[in-house]
Amino acid sequence: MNALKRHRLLTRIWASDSGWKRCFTTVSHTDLGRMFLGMAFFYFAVGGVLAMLIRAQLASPDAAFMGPDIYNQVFTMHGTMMMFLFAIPAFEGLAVYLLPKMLGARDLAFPRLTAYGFWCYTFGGFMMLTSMLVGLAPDGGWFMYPPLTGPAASPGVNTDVWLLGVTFVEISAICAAVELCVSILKFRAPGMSLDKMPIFVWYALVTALMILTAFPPLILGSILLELERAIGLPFFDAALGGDSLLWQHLFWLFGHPEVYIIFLPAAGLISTIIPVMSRTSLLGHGWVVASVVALAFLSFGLWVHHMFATGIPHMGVAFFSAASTLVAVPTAVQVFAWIGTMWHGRPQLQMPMLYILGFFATFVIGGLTGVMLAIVPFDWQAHDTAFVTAHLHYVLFGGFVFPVLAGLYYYAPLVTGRRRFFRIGEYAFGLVFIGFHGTFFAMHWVGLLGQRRRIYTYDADTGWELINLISSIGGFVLAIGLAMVLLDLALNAIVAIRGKRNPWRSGTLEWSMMLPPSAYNFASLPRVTSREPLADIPDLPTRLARGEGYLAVPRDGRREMLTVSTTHAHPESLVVYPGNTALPILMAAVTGSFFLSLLFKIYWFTPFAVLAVAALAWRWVWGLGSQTDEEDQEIGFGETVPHAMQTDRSQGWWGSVFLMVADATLFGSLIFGYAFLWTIAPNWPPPQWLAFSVWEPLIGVAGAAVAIIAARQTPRPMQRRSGTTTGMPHLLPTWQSLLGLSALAAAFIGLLLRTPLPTEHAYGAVLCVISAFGLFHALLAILMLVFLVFRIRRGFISSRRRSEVEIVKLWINYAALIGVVCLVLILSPVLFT
Amino acid sequence: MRDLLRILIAPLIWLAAFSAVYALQGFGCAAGLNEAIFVGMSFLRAMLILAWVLTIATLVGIFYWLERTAPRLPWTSAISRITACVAMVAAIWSLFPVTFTSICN
Ligand code: HEM
Ligand SMILES: [Cu+2]
Repeated sequence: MNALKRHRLLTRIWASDSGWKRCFTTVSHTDLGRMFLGMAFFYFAVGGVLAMLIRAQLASPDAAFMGPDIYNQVFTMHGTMMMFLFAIPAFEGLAVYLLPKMLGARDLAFPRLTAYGFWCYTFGGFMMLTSMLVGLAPDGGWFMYPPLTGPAASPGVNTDVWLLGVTFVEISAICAAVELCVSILKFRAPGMSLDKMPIFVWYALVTALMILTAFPPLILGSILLELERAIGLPFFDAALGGDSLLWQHLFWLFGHPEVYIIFLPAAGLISTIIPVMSRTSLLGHGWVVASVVALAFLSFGLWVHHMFATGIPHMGVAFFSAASTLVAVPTAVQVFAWIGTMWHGRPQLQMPMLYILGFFATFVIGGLTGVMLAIVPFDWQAHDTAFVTAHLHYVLFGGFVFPVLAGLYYYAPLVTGRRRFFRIGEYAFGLVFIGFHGTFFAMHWVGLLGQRRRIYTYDADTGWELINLISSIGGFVLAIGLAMVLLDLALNAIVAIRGKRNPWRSGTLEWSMMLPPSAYNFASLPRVTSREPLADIPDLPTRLARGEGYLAVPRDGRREMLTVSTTHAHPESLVVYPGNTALPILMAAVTGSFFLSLLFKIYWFTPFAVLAVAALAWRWVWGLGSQTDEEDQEIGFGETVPHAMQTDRSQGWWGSVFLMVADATLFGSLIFGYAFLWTIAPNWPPPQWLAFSVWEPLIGVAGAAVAIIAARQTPRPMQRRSGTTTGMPHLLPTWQSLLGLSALAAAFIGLLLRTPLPTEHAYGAVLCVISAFGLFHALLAILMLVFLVFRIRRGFISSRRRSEVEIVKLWINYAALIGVVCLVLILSPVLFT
Repeated sequence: MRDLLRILIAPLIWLAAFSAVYALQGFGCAAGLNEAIFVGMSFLRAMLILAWVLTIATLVGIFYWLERTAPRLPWTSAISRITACVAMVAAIWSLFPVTFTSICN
């Protein structure tokens, strides 16, 4: 088979639908990455327009352009959009687009999940955008502190839009994070051991792990606050045993890591671009990897530094102040690695480098003002002033927008396949740089003079007038600059001449493909032997096109990919991807109807939405697998691997594990909240404790034990090559597990019915949530077991095709474990009261 | 996977210990352990210092284990050594306030 024929065949297999259907049914990471980025930049533009409105209002004293109500909505939506609808999705888009290409893969682990995440983001974003157009946008600031956002002070729908909309959008972040973790660990080109992964991949892996552990506290907080607003469970109401500080803890438990979730991908781009632009390799590669890991962990121990002004004990302040000073170290290690790399090499001042220099100038200032704010007495002075706003923009704009613009210029030739021709970009950069510093340098100053943040206007004799005017003029220069950047990129994408492959002469795999990339990325998968395969084998692209790699022969019209072992990347199994489908958008629409029913308080509809989601999820997984055993498959180089559905640890199993990491973090946050209210909140003890009964723990724990033991009885897989027996597994253990889990569920229903006064004290409210959490997991596992029964009946499961059995087993064990912990949490304190 | 865990384990222990000590401080104050006296200092402070020392001891143990056993990829050992050092420094420095600041106010 020659290269052209292979190209035609693969294209037919991998191509998205043509015409208008394409964008609704595509599951290709190339398409979806572009869609993610496009949508993210749309929100960047909307957020930017809002920023211009803010600056217009503040340009002069006593401005009558906006009243306080509108102003509150505008700055809240500006912050919310920039953080949740621009920065995070921009990372997701970059990662979704780039990772398979860097890893030498044909797609991500779960293509339909990528699409589902994109549509959740899109619909959730539209929900918030619409609220703004009708004047009902959230108005409590981007961190939504109760009691301001509680039912008494904000009775309108505005706050609900934020809580539900952001949670809806966060589904996409969790999906993307699970997907990226599994893709990075299992979907690499053979031979790409951990030490040979491109540096950006390390950043993306750490960022994805951080999303899995940082977003759950926020999701939990949003659920609790929405419950308080919707049905009066008083988690944050101090009069009823709640505490508004609990929100601050949950929010910043998310919020501080969030800053690094935004910064790390940007730093990853810098670590990728600087070596290439300097014609050398990254100095201190290992140190950089270690410092990224260190940064991620340290960033979880800082959250209380946002709460220094709330009157917490000295020791707490000291812990978090000390930890805050530490993060400077790994950040500095990276900065020195970058400077050293440039020193070592021969930097060329191309467009991407220009933005990286802009990053350096800006980020260093942001870091310095950050250290100032970490000093507690200074923080007490500057808290809630424009100084903080200036600091956060130096970090966010300097640390994210500049590097991302560098990345866009760097990767534009790959995405569009064209060479930059129009030179508007250099001027645009000048305007962006000057405009940015004009706007925000001034804001430090006026903040130190006492201007608070979030004020809609100020008097004429404050002495702030001129500074604010300068800041606003800077803002408009910045906006013009950014518009020119977009114009430059768009013009060059549409009309510039075709470029040649690998224009920057990089050594990593993403540059070894056709320009613009084909639907299948690699005609055959490379066998990787170093960190820069393309530098070692300059004719790698032609070799891959000729089929000198893995999976060179298109088979049966199936979309094939390999999974590899985590550390050494030895081929492990063959994955067949599902094809184009509208299921993801449908699923996202139904998920959206769930959130809308809550928003409009049409609660009778909510259960139907949940059922519809479950039904679609059933459809989703039902289409996978096969009813016959498959022989081990040839993958090239004389190697064979089993089909993924005939292994114990399929990609679905790994995906479940990472989803459980997120779920367990949410559970941990819930336990934290319970303990926090119990020990810190005023107005405890509650008027009435739960009465102890032996029945629920007895039934529940026994049920959990039966479920786990029965699940273990499902037979172990037969040895791989031991013939073709396809006996149907026994159903008995499945029924036993089902019975056990039902008992567990019954125990929680019993507890829910007995919980004392959930709307009158936070104690009862928390017990309800814990019971509901346990019940939800039991029901989820039950649903999976029922699914498994049907799969066994229909012959999808055999002693060789048992990946689904392993996944369900994992969930049974998890649900049982969670259930028992819930029971202990609910009942053990009762013994002591 | 093992290699990845070797890189992550020490910072993970720091994070767990950091959270646990913070929780201990909160619980201790709520339970009035600060008023009880133990060898001339508050009982709560004694417990906090003990927790601090235990954290450091655990990390020393981890360090020992990392040095004694070999990872699958030689590359990992350099990385895990750095992250273990970071965790150690973080444990000593960020929990050091247990020795001197006022605990419950
Ligand atoms: C395009 C240029 C930008 C300008 C001119 C700008 C301007 C402003 C101004 C003046 C405020 C203060 C509002 C007030 O306190 O009254 C603000 C708040 C904020 N901005 Fe920006 N901004 C820009 C870009 C960004 C970006 C890129 C991000 C994040 C990635 C961001 C995130 C935020 C956040 C989180 C707040 C706080 C909102 C709140 O107080 O609830 N901004 N911005
Ligand atoms: Cu912070």
